Amino acid sequence: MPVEFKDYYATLGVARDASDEDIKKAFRKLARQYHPDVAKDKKAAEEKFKEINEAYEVLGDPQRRKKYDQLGARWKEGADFEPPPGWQGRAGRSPGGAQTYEFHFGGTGFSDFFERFFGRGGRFGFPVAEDGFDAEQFRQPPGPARGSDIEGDILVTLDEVMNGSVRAISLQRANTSTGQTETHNFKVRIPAGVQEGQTIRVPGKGEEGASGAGPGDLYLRVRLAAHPEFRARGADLYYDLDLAPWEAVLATTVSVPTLDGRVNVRIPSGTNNGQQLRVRGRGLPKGLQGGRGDLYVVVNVQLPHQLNDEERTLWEKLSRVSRFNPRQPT
Amino acid sequence: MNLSNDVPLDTIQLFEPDPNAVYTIEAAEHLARVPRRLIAVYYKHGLVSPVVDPDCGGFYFNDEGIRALRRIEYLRTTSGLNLGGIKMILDLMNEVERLRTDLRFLRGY
Repeated sequence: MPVEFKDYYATLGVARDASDEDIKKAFRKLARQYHPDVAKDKKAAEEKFKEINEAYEVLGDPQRRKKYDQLGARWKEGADFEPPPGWQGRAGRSPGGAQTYEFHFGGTGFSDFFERFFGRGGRFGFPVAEDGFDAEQFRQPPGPARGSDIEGDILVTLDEVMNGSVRAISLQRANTSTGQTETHNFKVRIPAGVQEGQTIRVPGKGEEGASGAGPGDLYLRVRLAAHPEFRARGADLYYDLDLAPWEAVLATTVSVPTLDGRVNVRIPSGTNNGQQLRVRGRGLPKGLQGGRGDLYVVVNVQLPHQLNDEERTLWEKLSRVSRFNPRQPT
Repeated sequence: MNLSNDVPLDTIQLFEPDPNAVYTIEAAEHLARVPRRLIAVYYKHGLVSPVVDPDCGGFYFNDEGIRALRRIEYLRTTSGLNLGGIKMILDLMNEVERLRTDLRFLRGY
């Protein structure tokens, strides 16, 4: 099946030979601009935000970017394209080698193109007679076998983690008995406090079972969308704060964004590069346990790029006066 | 692919999976289509980790557990793996997942 090629480089507006750093910068710039919270036209911005995220999901990962570049070399302008041989993506093949099924997701935040070449979903659990397992007691319950399960990723923004949301999903799959393609539309509630990698089980939305047996289930794996300001780890958020050397040395107070408004953070004197300052309870909701994670402000001391004469004189004076030796063991 | 516009949104079936839902071993047996004796064997070999509810004294499975059971069934029935092999693969999959998450975080998306 032809898949519409997606030019992720164009989505992020970067050259094909852009450095990883340039790609990250381009993503952050666009993500800030189209973040559903700040944009005026929310609907259009959300669409764009997801596109940017998908593009970054691929280009921001050197391994995936390499794969993508290989695909792109075979792509002709404007044409749908057939993947090169060996690119089976996640399409299922029966042990005999015949293509057995094909399904597509909509509404997960990833396009068909992504799903096909980078999605990590797949199907599992197709019921066949057990082999290689000898114990009699392990027989399946008698009767026709249930349909296979389907697994797929769903892109969830940090704001959805905060507030929960309802997502419209469409799943296109071949009906195994008629061979016709059917589209199933349904909505799934994303509960507040979901975490990266968490499974959302949608019963009965897997593949149809053979001869009247029930369908399998659909398992959606939560993938947190990249956020222009924060990185998430569990329920905690991390924010990289750039500081001037004297701010870190002499102490200062900085206004830092959080998911719910800005807070002032006091940087104590002598704060070292990489040091983490904790803002309690400003992370993501913890779901089951209740409460919220923390926001960690990670100090990132930046050096001035250009010095004027006066600044240079001052640094030179400092270097003469200071007894600080970073290489001296304490 | 977009949701077709001719279907009014409010008539579409809404699934509201409860993230806190736990199932008894009987319910898990039904949901995952795995006989409960087999679930017990998996448990003994450390392949599944049920949610232990000390109040009720029994053990229960959440959606993650159901998925794990389906995965094990898949590995067992299609790849002909024994329990040791399944355990090794599950451990590796978890480890890969953990490393991927770490890598994503450290790369600073």
